[in-house]
Amino acid sequence: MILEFLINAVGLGALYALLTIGVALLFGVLGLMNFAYGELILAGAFAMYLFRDQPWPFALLMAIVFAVVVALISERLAFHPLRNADPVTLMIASFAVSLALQSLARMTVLPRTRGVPPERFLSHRVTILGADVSVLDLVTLVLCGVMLLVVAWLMGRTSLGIQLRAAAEDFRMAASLGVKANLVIPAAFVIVGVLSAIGGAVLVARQGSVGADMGLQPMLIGVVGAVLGGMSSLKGAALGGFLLGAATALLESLLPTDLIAFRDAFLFSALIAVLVVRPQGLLSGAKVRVS
Amino acid sequence: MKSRNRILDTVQTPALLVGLVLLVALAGATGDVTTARVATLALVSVVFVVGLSVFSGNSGVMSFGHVMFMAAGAYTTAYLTIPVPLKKTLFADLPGWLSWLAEVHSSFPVALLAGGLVAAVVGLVTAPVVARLSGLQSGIATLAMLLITYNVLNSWTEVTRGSSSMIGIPRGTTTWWAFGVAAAAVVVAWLYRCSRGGLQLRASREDFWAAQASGIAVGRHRATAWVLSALVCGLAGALYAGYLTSFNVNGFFLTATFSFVVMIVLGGYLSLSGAVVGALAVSALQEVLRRFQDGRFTGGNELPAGVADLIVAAVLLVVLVKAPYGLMGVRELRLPRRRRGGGAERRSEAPAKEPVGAA
Amino acid sequence: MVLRIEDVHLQYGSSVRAVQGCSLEVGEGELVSLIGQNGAGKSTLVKAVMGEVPVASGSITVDGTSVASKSYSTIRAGVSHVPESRGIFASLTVGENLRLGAVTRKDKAQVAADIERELERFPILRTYWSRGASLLSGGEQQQLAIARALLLNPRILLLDEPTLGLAPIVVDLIFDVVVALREQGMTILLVEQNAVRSLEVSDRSYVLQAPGRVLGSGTASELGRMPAVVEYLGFSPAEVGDPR
Repeated sequence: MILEFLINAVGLGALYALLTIGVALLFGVLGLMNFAYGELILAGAFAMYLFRDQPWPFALLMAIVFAVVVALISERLAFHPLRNADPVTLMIASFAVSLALQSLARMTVLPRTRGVPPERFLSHRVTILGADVSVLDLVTLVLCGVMLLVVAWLMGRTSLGIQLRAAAEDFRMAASLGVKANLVIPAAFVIVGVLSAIGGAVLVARQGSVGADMGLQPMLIGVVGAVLGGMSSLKGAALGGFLLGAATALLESLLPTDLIAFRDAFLFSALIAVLVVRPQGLLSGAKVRVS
Repeated sequence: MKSRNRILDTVQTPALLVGLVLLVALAGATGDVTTARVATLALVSVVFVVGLSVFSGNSGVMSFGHVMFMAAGAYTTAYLTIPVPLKKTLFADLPGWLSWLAEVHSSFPVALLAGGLVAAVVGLVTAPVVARLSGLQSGIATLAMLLITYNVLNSWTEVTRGSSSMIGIPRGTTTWWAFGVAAAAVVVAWLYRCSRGGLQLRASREDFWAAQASGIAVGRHRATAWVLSALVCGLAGALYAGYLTSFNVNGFFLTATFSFVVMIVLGGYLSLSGAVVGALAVSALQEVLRRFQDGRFTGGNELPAGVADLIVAAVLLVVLVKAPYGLMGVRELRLPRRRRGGGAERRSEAPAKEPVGAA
Repeated sequence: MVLRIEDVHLQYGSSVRAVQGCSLEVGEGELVSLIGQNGAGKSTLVKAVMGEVPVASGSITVDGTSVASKSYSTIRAGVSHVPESRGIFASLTVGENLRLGAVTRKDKAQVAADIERELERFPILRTYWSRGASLLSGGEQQQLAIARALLLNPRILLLDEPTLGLAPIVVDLIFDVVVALREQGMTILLVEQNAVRSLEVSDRSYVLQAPGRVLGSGTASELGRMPAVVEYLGFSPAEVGDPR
């Protein structure tokens, strides 16, 4: 029981951390609070639907391709011309991109929600250390955990990662050392595309359907997690997302049913409180950098 | 002579704007049913965007949460004007402490006023947050307020009917009601703009810290503007409910928010004229696009749903890139001037570079 | 000439004329300092060389090719800049900050050797290699910033107010580093408010007066013979004496 709950909570935490990093990375590198993030998740999820009859590794690969392509196109068309705009203008622009992508999806491929039958093995249950654990929870945990490790390695050990973190902290200084905007910004969008594809795939498996508006909830989770963790550092953001996920799992098993419906209201009230009381985030010691 | 010029100077912009709104109302009152509907809803949008502009235009802080005030006005109107017998069946499960909601009843004008006041109370409750935050943080916080409102309205089924539509509101809003409120909103917004508080708030828009340092209580002025703008947006909500006679909680969420953001950004969010012009222009654009989508211009070939949204989003992006201050910039509608140099002098008011939310 | 600035006019913001008609030259292996009071236009001039402030008229060349027109062209031309703010990334470790200095270089094998060279020069950086750079003191951050700039193997090093806000003992250390670099043949343009110390170590100096006009230039003893310079500085550079 405890182990099952732990795997569920840690898995959800890892998923939320993944979603949060996608928001925090773009915010750090170019000051973009990206509301179109949800539609990148949608792109990945749609690929999972489109290739639902193919072997799942192939569908996952296509999800990544879809989300990355959509991420790069949105960068090129909308955010590239606004590179020097302030964060609020960028936020409005991402709002527009989000709506454009959503209506595009609605008028072409997803006029209504489609069911995606989950892979059969996901509905199995296995016994680990005497605990009965759902494979879906296990897969969520492993997939998101591995992704987090990959991101940690990429950001911490590679030259690109160092450049991205430097750009996130002080873009002008990084540029004056020769860090190229035309390299790091698209790279950030590619990473965000990959993250959202994985997130989308996991969400499809968990909810068993794909709809044009499915990106909203995970996008908001990313925003809340990033604000909680302090948007100035990716580590803080990831931790914020993780705690948010774990707390959600805890709330869902503890809150009385008639209050679960108001979970979001509690969550966003907490968000406002954090913004007012500790704008640099709960977990960050750094001074706030947002405008 | 000179003082008369000054009076003309301060009065001409609101007069022109009211005139513009009057033209729309006349078109609505004399046209067919569809025209009347489009014109009235455009006027409701004018009320809302003018309300939004009272806060955003003067403080330079963008809000994504104002639709919650509209919701407050609309729900208030519903509670007050739906006939009592119908209300008893619609809200059969009201919790005891709210059972009076099923009993109260009022005429539409009272409901309109109450809608504005309830929204102002919501504004009062949320004002401390807005007073303390700027820029992106304010944007996120106001959005969070909208999400909270939506969540509560959507989940508190016994009181708000949740995701079921609110129905049976008597048609109280006429085109002339909408015009009257729009004209009043324009005048109030202009008066606030020219008031001491409005002037000081606008000073803080250019340079928050300089204003703060020179003794302007930016937070307090922001809070004042926030509450006033909540009131106006609440009126818009009441008009909206009183016109459509039924509404759904989904009408007060992101799509509506986006639509109003498009209006104010396209018109130019720093100018009151921009708010009015933007609301009217985007309303017209949306109507044209809706007809396109229905296939009325393409010989009955319906375009897939979503085309209109897509085009509006594209228009907004182009405006953000090409003219971040919108159609009007910081200018206001004025009579053509005979004196030379007037235009240049006003243009120099424009903040040097950073557009939205630089504070 | 490594760096040549000719009759440059710069505007900062919309209307302020920060630099009007400044000319200066830095030759191979020279240590040249640019001194002047706050607001004389020193930092603006450096920013113009780095392409951060547009050049209204005049020319800036490095080894005869014009820079400051395209982004990154200054770095490509071999100009390394240590900004006044030092530009240390607080969220990165010391080692990562150092590696950023070589981000434009293609010869990865040589980079490792050059990092080793800088760690020999600044042993403190080796000690703190995997620590967060935010934990360094001001003087240590300045060493890190200089080491990072040197990893570009620059043709010329621009040091912008390297001793600003540092304790006197650390100021000595930084000037020792500058002198040592010059002895190894590095070409350096040193921008300083500390006129006395700059004149002590520099081969030549330019005295800048607002708005960015060269009041006089030459060795300390040459400047000492210029009444306008003596009056502007409030002391005679000749008393400081030429290096060695």
